[in-house]
Amino acid sequence: MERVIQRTKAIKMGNPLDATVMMGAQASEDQYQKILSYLDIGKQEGAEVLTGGEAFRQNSGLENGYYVQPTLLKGNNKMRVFQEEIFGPVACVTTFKTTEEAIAIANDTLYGLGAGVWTRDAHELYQVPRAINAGRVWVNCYHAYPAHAPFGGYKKSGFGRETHKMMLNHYRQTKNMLISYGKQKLGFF
Amino acid sequence: MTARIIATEQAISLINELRHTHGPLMFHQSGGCCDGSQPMCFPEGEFKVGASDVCLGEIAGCKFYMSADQFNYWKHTQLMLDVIRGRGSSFSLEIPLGVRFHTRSRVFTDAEIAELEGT
Repeated sequence: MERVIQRTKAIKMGNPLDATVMMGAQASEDQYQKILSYLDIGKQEGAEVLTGGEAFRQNSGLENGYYVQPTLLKGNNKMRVFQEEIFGPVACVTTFKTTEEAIAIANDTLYGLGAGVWTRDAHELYQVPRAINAGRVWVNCYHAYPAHAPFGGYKKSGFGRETHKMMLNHYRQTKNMLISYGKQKLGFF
Repeated sequence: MTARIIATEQAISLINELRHTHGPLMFHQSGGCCDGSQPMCFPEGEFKVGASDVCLGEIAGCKFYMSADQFNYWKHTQLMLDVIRGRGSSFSLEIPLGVRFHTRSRVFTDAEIAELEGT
């Protein structure tokens, strides 16, 4: 974790027009306020702030920008910061002892859009992602969105899938045309 | 009496303004996927609530609902309806006014939880 904290602290914030800046502002004030509210409830629920945890203040004319520090929270999966998608630069960390426990934590949620597994074990590589109820499980990678891969959520994360060729059927009707080529009358009259 | 949902003065004043335009109102807290997790304000009855929703109480005469399975994860927190500036992206009634209802949360004390569970 020490290395993760160091990497998180090394994220350079500032004016997004500066090419060396890695993270700019949040997209809107309501998103900014929502993230700060999550940091507040996370701390109230007893999550430990490993780094960040506050708005990001800077000078140079961006004092009122919607900047949030990259944040790592340590806690347990019952906390709301673990259960909901914060949609901000906040990652929540918890611990597990067995693979079964890790799977139980991954599935103890109302949602199931994306999940990630990191392992060097060839069995876990297949068995763990199969056991996780999420529409996409990244294994030894994360946040890749190739255009042809089906994307969508389990549980309350949504209906259906997008972006795979087979999804085109969602937008199409199947029409059945029964055409007789016969020149003879059908014989009813 | 401990309430599960309370509101700031600004929220109540915005509710009164919206009620003047739209009539009786209701709230439903949206789920926590993607950029959800926001209180949604609708004309009363426009959002169909059912057995899978829980009513947390009323604010300024408007019922405030949440889905029951979400409530399971939220029930240890008191919610406070507030208003913030900025145009949100949703169908909630206040959006065209350039403001957004916002849910703030506070963890109940043990005494408050005992009182709530006693009711």
